[in-house]
Amino acid sequence: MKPKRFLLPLVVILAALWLSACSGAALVNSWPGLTNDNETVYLAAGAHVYAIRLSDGHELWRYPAKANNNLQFIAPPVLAPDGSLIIGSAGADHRLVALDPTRLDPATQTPLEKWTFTDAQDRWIAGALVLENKVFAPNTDGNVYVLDLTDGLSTKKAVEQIDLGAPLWSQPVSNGTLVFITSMNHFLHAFDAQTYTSPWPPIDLGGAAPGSPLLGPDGSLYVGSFASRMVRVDTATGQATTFASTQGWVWSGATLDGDTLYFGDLEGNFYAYRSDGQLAWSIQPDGPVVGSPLALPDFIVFATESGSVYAVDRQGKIVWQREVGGKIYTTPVSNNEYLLIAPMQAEFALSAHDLNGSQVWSFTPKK
Amino acid sequence: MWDTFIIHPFTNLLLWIYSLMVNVPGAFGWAIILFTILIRVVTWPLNAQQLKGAQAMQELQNDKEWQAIQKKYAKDKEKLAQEQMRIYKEKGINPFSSCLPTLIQFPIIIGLYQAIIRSLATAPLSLLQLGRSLYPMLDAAALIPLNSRFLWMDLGRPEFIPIFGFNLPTLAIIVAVTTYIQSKLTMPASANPNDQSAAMNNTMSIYMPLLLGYFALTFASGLSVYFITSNLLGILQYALTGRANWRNLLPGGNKTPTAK
Repeated sequence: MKPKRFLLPLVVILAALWLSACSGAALVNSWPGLTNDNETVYLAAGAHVYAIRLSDGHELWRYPAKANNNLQFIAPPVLAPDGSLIIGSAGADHRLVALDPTRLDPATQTPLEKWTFTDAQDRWIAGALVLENKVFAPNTDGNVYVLDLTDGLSTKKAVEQIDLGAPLWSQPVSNGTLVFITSMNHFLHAFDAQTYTSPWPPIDLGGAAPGSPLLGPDGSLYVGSFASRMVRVDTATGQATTFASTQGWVWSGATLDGDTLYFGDLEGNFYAYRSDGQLAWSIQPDGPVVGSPLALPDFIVFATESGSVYAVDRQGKIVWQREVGGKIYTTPVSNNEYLLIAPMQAEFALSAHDLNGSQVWSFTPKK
Repeated sequence: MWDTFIIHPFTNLLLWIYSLMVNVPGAFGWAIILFTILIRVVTWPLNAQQLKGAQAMQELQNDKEWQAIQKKYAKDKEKLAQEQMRIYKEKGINPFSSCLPTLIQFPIIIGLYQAIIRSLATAPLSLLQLGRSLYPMLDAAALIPLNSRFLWMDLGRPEFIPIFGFNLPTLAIIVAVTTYIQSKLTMPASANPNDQSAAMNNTMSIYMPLLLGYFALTFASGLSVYFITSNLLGILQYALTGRANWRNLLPGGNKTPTAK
């Protein structure tokens, strides 16, 4: 056989590799999930979930010990009251795992698994809600899986499977009695945490709602969506009214501080609305706001896609602005001493800042 | 540049078709099929030219004068090239007429593939990018996210049908079979045992089905719907020209009878 005979197949195979490379089949196209307690920050970033010491950015452990293309982590890890850290994979192996961060495998220095749940049909993009002894885990297969945290099983079986009919990307919230969650087919759902029955029909938000609802102290829910508005819902009756119109799509949930609601949109606006629906002020930072804001004692913090972090006071005055770099989509977290930012496409995966915005440390995973 | 001129227009066209039938069950699957038909119709003249050119080149391999100069100038490449060009001119054959349309279509195929993947937007960053790809004429808020269900498939995921505990990749098999049929039908018969072009075609008719079958097995099934539709249209187009070589589908059927 002559070499020429293999020239065209070789070209085709190279083209195939090119197609494979741009498909993103192995990697999930999303930003990291982030959560923290007073001493540790947990970063779900691609092939691993990392536990990082808050004081100095030192990596305490990573899970799994070795990268596995079938396991990809983007959902915010959730700390359960029993100390478990609940993480879900958005990779081809879509398992939900509860880790015990206090017990590490001596050989791999990786936390031991308390239990796993492997019955979901699709990926985990949203964080779970832990309510008393139950885990409400929303999956992109459209189901909220209810797991019993206290049954002692190492391989969980769902005690209930609530089919909401569309991919679920947002973490549920609860008022203790009802659980509220948005679905990507534009609806807000509510169901009883004990009986799983719905007190009112799903509410059409007019657009996809990838962010979590915000539960106000008066029992109202605030939900943003791609319909470019923030809707207020009376949780007792299921009545929905437009609370605020925005210039762009609202991706993440709002943050309530006092009687003011703070949120951003994808057109690059950041709003402060009084609870009576009056616009207190709005500013235009240097890029779209995807993550939720974070309310700290002295200011409100939010990040932009352009890689900047802003601290604004309650009157809308910018206290400081820092360019972290990369693109920031993940909601910042804080322990009131450090502010943690997880950018994408930056030189590092996580950075800690003091409350003046100065960088204290940065974390780049070792290969 | 690539995004602006290829992916964005393709994505918007695909979603515009989807928006016309958004209430039809399996709308995105139908949109992919209609979009593929549209692309095939637009590129019909290119395909026809490619087939015609390939046929002419293949026939040339069996030409006695062509074979004679191959032997005569086997050691003089420069003279051989001159003689080949002379025969091309005499017979009115453009040696690039079969590969040029393929080169032009290649970006279209890649763009279509990327448009399908982008439209399905199954992860947050993909959805963010999709929102920015759409033209104002589309009511993006109402359309997004697309309903990716089509028949028994989720177009955003590879397709399998569980049978007796085994996940059968139905679409991947159909993709491989239709690709094989298409490549065999468009392969002209050759009597020349030294015909390199025929040998390459034979190799391709094995590689391509395996390759596209692998794609179908691995990637979103929306892409498989595109491959199958495109293959069936290709078979139909070639059958309509009356040149389809159905004997090629049988083992040993790609040889023309030689004169004794």
